[in-house]
Amino acid sequence: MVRPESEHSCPSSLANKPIAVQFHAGSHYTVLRLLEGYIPAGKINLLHYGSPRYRFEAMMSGEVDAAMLMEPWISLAEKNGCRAVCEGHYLGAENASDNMDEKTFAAINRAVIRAVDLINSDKKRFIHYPIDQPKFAPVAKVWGGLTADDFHLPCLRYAHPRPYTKEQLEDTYNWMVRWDLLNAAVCATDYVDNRAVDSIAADETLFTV
Amino acid sequence: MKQVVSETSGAVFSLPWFVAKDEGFFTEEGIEMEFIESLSVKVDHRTTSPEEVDPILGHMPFEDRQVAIYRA
Repeated sequence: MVRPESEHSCPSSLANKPIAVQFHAGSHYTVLRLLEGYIPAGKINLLHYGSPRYRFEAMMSGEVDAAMLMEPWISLAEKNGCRAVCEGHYLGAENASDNMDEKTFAAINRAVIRAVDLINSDKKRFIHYPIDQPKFAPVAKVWGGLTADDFHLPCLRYAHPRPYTKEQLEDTYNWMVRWDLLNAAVCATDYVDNRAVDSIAADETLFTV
Repeated sequence: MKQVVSETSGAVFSLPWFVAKDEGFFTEEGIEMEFIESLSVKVDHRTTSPEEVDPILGHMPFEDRQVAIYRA
């Protein structure tokens, strides 16, 4: 996203311009996937600013030309006149410790699936969670506050948990190796262990989407 | 009840977990769910090099085995 007075209205003009991200997180990987379609790799200029609050503030202060943000920071930025120059979505998943047993993991996922269905039935009912979160609310207040009506609710996408497919895993691995974000000496299956979710995925009642 | 500690991140990402707890869905599954919030990452050194940044970021509760599960 860029400031209201920014000269940028499309990704291609961001070549060599500083963009705030958090390295090794969704904002880092998503901005590479978005910008590589417009800008040569050597002209993508990312700066590590950490958590979204600091990226938002760096953008608003003019320290950077653009910042990679997620909700509710996108809605707060838009309410303050900022605009998106490109937009993407990425897949989030649960990472369990090696002592998480399958029975517990399945029970957790059944509860999460019920919550996903409830949220999707009425997203506005639950939008107070991101608005009121302690890491966001005090900053939002400084920038005019945010209400449920400020959100573009289709941006919030919740799906039933399911394991990465082999194709997703390999495609992502190859993409990260190409960007020198992973050690190519280690194969994709060494990074992701799907034991728990594979066994649960066999339960069709749990993963029917 | 089985006790589970989960790391939460931004509320948009953790929303199904917050709702599952507040609506009693975890309890109905026999899970006593506790949340520990991931740490904010504030940096003073504005590096352009990913190699200079620890990829663990704010997920220290998971690395320290305080939590059994997190989302990213």
